[in-house]
Amino acid sequence: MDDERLVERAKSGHIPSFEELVVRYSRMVFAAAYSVLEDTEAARDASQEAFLKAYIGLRRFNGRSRFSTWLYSIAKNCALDIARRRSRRPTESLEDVPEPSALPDRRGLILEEAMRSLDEREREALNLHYRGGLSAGEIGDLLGLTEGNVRVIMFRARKKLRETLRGKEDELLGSQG
Amino acid sequence: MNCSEARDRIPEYLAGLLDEPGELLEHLEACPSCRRELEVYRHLDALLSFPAMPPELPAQILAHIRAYAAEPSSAGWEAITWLGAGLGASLAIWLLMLTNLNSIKDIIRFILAVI
Repeated sequence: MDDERLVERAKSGHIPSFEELVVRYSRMVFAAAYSVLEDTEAARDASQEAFLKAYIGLRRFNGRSRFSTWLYSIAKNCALDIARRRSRRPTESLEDVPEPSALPDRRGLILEEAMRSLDEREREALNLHYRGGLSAGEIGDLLGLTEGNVRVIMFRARKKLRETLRGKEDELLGSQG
Repeated sequence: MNCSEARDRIPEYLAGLLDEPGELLEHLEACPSCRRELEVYRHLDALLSFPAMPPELPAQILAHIRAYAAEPSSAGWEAITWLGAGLGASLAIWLLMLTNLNSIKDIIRFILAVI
């Protein structure tokens, strides 16, 4: 069933239709939130908040844009709200310290650092593709770009990352641990 | 194709931007150093997928929404909001009429005089 149909049914109170939309888009929402927050737990909170906001506001969704585009902007706003709330906190509380199992390995840290060399759009496109599992065409729909543009952005981003990581190949190819 | 050209084309190849990858693939077959470059890119791709979405997240979102939908307040919340707004507007009009009673009487008198 297509999104429009599911949205119409969900609007009339059919919860299983909304549940189908959750299953369809949770990976995208998580990737959008992660792109802003770069933290799994915070991205999880943002994803929950985003879907709840979408559920509550569904009646106001007029269908002029695609449901996925509307949901994507809600997810980004939720993530930005969380980022703002975090930045206002005076000190890091104990809850914010990740558990040892959640700490990234050396390769993750190297990549995280390299990702900072990318601009926002490049990071967003890579996150949506790799974490969100979206194709270049789907990313283009969300960001208002053509599929070709997205491919070029991803190609440049990969190349930039590669240049930043030059000299660290052994660490990158090394075993995890 | 030399190594420099091949390395330039690897990210294009992986991004699906290379229309004819034959020449690059031939080079990769013969050049261990460029194959390693391809391997680095592939590792990069694999790393970019981590951390993936926690697999339990969709179920958590669904539980969150079901809990919200089951709250009696959530179902009637919109109606209560509109009812509140309506009552508020009525009260405001009533107060306005009360405070401007004399002017309203004047207007009525004026209309009656004109008629």
